[in-house]
Amino acid sequence: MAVDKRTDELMGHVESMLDIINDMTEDMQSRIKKEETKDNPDESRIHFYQSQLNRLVKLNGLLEDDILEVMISIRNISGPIEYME
Amino acid sequence: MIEKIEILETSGPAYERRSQRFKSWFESVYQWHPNFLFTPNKEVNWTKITKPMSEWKVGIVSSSGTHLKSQKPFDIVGLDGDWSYREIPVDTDPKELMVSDSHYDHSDADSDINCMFPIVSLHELVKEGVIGSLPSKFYGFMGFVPDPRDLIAHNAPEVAQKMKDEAVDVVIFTPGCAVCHQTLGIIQNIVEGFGIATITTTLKPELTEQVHVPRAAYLKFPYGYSAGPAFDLPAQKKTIQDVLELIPIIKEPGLIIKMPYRWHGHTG
Repeated sequence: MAVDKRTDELMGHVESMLDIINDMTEDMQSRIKKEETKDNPDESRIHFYQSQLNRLVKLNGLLEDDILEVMISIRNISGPIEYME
Repeated sequence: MIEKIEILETSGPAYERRSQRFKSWFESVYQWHPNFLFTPNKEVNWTKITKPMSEWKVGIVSSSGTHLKSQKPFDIVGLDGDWSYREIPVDTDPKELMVSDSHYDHSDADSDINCMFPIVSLHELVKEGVIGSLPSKFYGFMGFVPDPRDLIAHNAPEVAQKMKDEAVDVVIFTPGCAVCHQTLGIIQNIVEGFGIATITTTLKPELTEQVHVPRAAYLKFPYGYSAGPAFDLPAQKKTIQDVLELIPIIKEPGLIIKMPYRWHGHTG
């Protein structure tokens, strides 16, 4: 556990977001697959689901890369800040 | 073994972002530590390992400030840092180890030292026959050494010679804080120059790549977890095994490999 527990709490929120995004991603993938296996797939629906999927992938990438990087650096600085007190 | 070896980018947007982070850190480090002397390795040493991993004698050097509770703590107050080192007997009970360093959060390592000083992981890897043996001693430094000239002249070669005398084949290096990454990179390169193959984990690749080290594995973890997540021995052991397995794979000096693990936050 971090000396500044709030940094762990922040990370916990990111983890929760990633879980939800993962759930939504699987949902969109399943909808696309279901539509594609129909005799007459509705291309506009597939396009709509795919558009949502792209947004979810983008958000996942932001959280996994940029946000996580900043979160780690916040945690890194919070240690010496607390030890200084 | 990790499935896909991914080398840290040396060009493109990710490299540019990392370079920017190094620049920002480099500009601000002098505000915190006015006597910081940026000391990249002029030449990267290189030792090729030919033995199979199961025959390696593997040492640890850590700049995390780890030492025996019975030993003199490192000086964490002095502005010049502390370039002394502590010898840690191989059969030390991990509970007898502690950290003297105030430059990063080591709260989890205070309860589970193996997340930074992989003594348990290495013993386990010997038991499983993954590596061959361990030397009689490991080495602990406190990496806050703003001016490393005395370290380069005296203590780093002294430790390297001691490991060479014990016929150590491979050393894994684990950092603590930011400045630690320079300190450790310097020691690593000196040890490599003594004919011992080395690899360091890095939590700050933008500094490690500027210091120029023989081999490095980037863990996208916070400081304090340079040998794996806390309270998770299987993950710690896997981390160390994966990192060691990179040694014969990395064919040219200076490469940094991105490890495929992600930080999941609270571990204890």
